[in-house]
Amino acid sequence: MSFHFPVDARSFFKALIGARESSATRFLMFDAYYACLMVGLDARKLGSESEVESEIFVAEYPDAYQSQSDIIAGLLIDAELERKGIDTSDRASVEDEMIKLLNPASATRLSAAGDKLLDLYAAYGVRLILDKMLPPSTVEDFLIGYRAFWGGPLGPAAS
Amino acid sequence: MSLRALPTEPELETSTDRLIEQFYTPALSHSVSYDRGVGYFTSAWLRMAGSGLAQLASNGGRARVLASPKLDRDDCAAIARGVDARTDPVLLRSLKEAISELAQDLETNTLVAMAWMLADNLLDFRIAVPTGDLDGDFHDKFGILWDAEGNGVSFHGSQNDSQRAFRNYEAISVFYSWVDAREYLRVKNHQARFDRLWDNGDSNLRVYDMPDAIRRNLLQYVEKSPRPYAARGAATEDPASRKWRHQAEALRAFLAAKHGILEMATGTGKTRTSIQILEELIARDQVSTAIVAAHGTDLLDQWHKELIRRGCTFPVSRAYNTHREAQSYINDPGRSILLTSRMNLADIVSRLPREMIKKAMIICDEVHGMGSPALVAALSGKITPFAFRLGLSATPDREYDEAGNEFIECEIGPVIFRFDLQTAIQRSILCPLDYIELEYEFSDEDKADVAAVTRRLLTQLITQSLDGLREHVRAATNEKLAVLAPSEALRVTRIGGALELEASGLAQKEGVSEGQSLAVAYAFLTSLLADAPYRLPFIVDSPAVSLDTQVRREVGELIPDLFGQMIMFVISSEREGFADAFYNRKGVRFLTIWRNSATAETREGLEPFRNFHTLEGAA
Repeated sequence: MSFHFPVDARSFFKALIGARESSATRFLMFDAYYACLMVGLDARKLGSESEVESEIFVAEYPDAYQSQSDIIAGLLIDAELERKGIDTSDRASVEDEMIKLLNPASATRLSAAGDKLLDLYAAYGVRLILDKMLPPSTVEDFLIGYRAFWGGPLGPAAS
Repeated sequence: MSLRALPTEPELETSTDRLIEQFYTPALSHSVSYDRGVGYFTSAWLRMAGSGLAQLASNGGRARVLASPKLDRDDCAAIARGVDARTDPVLLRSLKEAISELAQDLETNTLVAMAWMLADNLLDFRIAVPTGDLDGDFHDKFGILWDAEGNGVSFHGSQNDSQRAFRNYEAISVFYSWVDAREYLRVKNHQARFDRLWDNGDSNLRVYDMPDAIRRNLLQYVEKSPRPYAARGAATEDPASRKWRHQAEALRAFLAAKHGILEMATGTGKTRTSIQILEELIARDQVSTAIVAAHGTDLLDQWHKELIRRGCTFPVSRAYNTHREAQSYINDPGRSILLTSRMNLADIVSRLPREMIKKAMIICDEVHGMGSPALVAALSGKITPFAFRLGLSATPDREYDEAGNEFIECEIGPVIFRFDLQTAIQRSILCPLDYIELEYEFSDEDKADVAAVTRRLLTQLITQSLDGLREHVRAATNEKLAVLAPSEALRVTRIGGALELEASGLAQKEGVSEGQSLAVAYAFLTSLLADAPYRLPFIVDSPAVSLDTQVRREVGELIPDLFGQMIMFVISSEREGFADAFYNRKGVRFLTIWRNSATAETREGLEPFRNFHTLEGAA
């Protein structure tokens, strides 16, 4: 079980991760990874292995994410089924996919192949983030811009 | 020239025209000071206040006018609650409408006289907004005139004067300071009351300077006609504003063109002029965001300092040097300004919403620098969508760079205003100077320093390039390995003096097999050479000799997909399970070579290759 950080995410999130000791809001490297992952899963596209760092940055989910492991596994399966064009009513294919991606004994509930796919989805996610955003200097700046990926307009809340 | 020449009528009640003719014009022609409280800032009220002003100006006199914007009570209350009424959009709209009315209704000579007196600082307007307990608007109508000898006349309107005025009928009570002590006191009291209001001393009124945008709207009427009174040298000219009048001229040129370059000598106020233009466009509600692009921290810091010093209406974000506020600006660009280095400009502009750019201004300082090949490539077509595009430079032309010049003219515009060094010296804005070239040659020590710095930079560059190349090859190798040996989960973790491997599953054991080594070597070499500038055949000598039969077959099937061209040498024992994987492939040429006593025999084609032993035996 291991996570590899998207190469381009390191410079993009540099100010947030670097400032975590002095900032009131502690921004984890895994927060950055998760933000990229969600965008990549939503896009249903994989980055390439060259966009992923070779070193493991964290061996398992941080405490705050452990309760979300099932949801993340579910999102991965959902993304993979759609990416591969597998009809969800095709029970056998869905089961094959689940067997390939899941490992109940693992802390992430994912197999090694599943872990690797998470890395590649995160790598694609950072591509999309870089298209729309510039490196933020504060967590708040990042979150305001990031909400545009989820249906909101770029810029402040419409209210 | 004395106000004592006027008849001392205590009350005048007649048509407006007659009142102007009988009272205002003769009184102003004898005065050097005129303070006037009028009701609304409308043409009807200002017509009476403004008539005869040219005569006052001819005496070198000055006038102050206090007027109320025409607003409903809720608007007044909202403005009074605001931090700065001068930027309140409701107030500005009301005043702009009034200026439009003035242009239509006021006699040209009155309008022009007011504009010229404003330009000459002989006339000052302030805006009174009722607040506190005052019920209704400020429409107190009174005035005080003084001549050069100290004689004063004051007047105020009757109870229902405001209604009558709009029926073109006037009624005023007039007081003359020289008549008796009581009259003198009335004049003095009127003056004290005006001064108190003017200086914001009445708790029921808030008094503001005329907003700059409105003042400039009025000033434009000086172009309609020459000054209608004789200029009185130092008394009427503000030497400072005359000296810097090129800035107002530049402003007018840009407002007319909307895009283009101000070519102004260094030190003549390019930054200030640009900020005036920006403030004007903000005040006119034509610009809702602005980006200032320049090169160098010092220059951008100077911009920041100047914008803050002038109390710019919009907050200022920075994206240069250590300042990383670009995303903060992109999150909410409306009603804000971004200072950025040129190199960040393309990234920022491409992330700004299109709708925002349509109402945005871009200012490119030292605009000649925008024509560099890198910026031309990054910014082509990205500047023109801005509603207002301003370039600044003392030397906008790029020598020997037609492409760069063309880009600047296409994206920003031509030179629309020039203020050269010679004119700046003539106007005492810059001092005369001698230009002396100082020749300089590098000492041996300088040369050694430069060489050392160059070596250090080159070393860094080579190290970074190699690191990047290693990472690229490592990732590509791992992608190939995933195909070559899917069950082994072999990965290259680092490329240093050797390939460092990581494995899981079956491969988690001491060392790797010959077959795995071969797979890693093929994946690595093909990845390394994939981006080479030349396409040369890959030569492999005895690739399968150490592999067991099953692995041989797998490798034999995979190798052709890894290489575009390859020459493979095999010995006879490698045919089975390896070379035979090529028998049914297209584009493969077989050459069989064997020693026959003293000479070497060769045969081309698949058949001799397959039946080598027969041939050898026959020989």
